[in-house]
Amino acid sequence: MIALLPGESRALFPRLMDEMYGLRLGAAHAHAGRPSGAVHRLAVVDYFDSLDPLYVLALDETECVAGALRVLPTAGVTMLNDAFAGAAPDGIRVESPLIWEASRLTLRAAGDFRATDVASDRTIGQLGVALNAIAEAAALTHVIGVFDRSMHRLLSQRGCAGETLARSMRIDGADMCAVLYEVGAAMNAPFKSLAGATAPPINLADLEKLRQTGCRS
Amino acid sequence: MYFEDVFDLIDRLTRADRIPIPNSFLSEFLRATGLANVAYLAFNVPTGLSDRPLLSAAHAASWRKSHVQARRVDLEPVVRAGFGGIMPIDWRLLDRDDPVVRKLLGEALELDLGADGVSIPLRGRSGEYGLFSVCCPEDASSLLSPRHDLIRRLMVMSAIFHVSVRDAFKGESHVDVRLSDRELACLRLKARGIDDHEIGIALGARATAVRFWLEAARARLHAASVDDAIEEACQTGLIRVGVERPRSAIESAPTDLSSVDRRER
Repeated sequence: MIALLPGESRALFPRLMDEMYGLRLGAAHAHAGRPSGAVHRLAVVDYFDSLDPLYVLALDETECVAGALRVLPTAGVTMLNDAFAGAAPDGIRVESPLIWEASRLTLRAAGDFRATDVASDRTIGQLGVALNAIAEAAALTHVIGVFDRSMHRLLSQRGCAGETLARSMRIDGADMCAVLYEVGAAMNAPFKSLAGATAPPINLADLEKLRQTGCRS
Repeated sequence: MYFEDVFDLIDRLTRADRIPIPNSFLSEFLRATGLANVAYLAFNVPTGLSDRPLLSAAHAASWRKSHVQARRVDLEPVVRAGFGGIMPIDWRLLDRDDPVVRKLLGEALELDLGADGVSIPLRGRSGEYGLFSVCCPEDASSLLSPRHDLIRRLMVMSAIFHVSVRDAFKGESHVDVRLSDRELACLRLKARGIDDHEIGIALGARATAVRFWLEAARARLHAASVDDAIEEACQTGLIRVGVERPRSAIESAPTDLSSVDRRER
C-alpha cells in the first residue's frame, strides 16, 4: 500500500512521520555506524523536511511504514542544488518545473539490504511505481534521485538505479550520488517488476484523494 | 489579514500597488487556450525591500499541533493544498461534498469564473511559495483538455510567469543565460536537427540524459519549448548554428563532469 503525505499535513499523521524518521535513523545507524538515540534524531530530520515536501510511504500489511522517500520540485530549494554546491551535475543548479527531486529513500530492512531480500524488493518496487505515477500526474519529464551510496548500490543490484548524473557528493560524512529517471514506461518497468502483483494501480484521481486526505490507497 | 468576504478583498486589491511584469507568455497562453480567468498568489517573494520584512510568529510546537488537529487553523482547500503541496490540483477531483469546497465553488460561480480549473503550486529558489490557477465554466471544460498536456503547459508557463514576477520585484534581468557546456552542446546539436539518440552518442550519454539537459536548458532560458529555447539561444549568441560544423559541437562537450562550467556557483 502507498500513502502520500504532504508535508503540510504531517502533524495530522504523527505515527506515520515517526515511523518514517525511525527508518532514517535505523539506516543511519546501520550504514554509517552512527549511534542511535534521541539526541541524534535531529540528524534524520533535515532542513528540506521543513519545506513541505511530498512524502511517499510504502505501508506493509499491518499499515506500518516499510519504506519512504521525499519529493521536492527542483524549481525550489532541493538537496542537489542547495546542499551539494559544486558537486551538482555540471556544477550548476538544475531548476525546472518539469524535473523534481526524490531523496531520503529509506527502507525497513535488516542490516545490509541483501540482494535476496524479498520484502525490500517489494517496497522499492512500490515506491518506484508510485513515484512514476506521481511524476506522470504532475506531467514531469524527469525525476532526479539523490541517494546515499548504499541505497544506490541496492538499486543498482535490482536494475533500478537510473542514469548516473553525479557520482560523488558528500554530506555529513555520507557519500551520496545523483541519478536520473525519465518519467514513463521506462522508469516504471523495473520498479513494477520488483513490486510484482503488489504494485497497486495509481491514477490521478487516487493521487488527488490521497494528497487531500493523506490516507492510504 | 482577514477579510469577511471576497468582495472586500477584491476592493482592496483594486487599490493595491501595481508592478508591470514584462511577460507576454501569459497573454499568449490565454489567447491560445481560450481561457479567460487566471489567478496568481505568491508569498516570500524576494523584493529587495529590507524595510518591509515579513514577520512570522507562532505558538509553541505542542500548541500548533493541537490547533492543527482541532482544525482551528484552516484555509480554503485549493489554497491550503496549493501552498502546502507540490502536486498540480485538478479541481474536478476536489471533494465537492466538502462544505468548504462547495462554498469556494459557489463563490467562483457567483463571480462568473467557472468551477472547473487547475491550480499549479509554485516553489522558488529563494524559498517562495506560489499558486497559479486557471479556471473556466464547466460547460467550457474542453478548454482544459487534455489534462496532461494542459498541466505540463501550465507547469512551464506558471514557472516562467513566477520568475518574471520575482525578477520584476528585484529589478533583475529576465533571463539567466548561464548554461552548462552539456546544455549548450545539446541545444547546438538539436538546432542542427540531430535526434536525441545521436546527440547522446556524441556526448557519451543516453537519450534520456539528452532530453534532461534540453529541458534544463529550456527552463534556464525561460522558454516555452525546446524549440523556443534553441531560438533564444541563437538570438542571444549562446549558440551559433551554421557557422560551426556538427563535429565541433560534439568536441566541445566535456567528457569529464569536473571540467564543466561552474560560473553559477
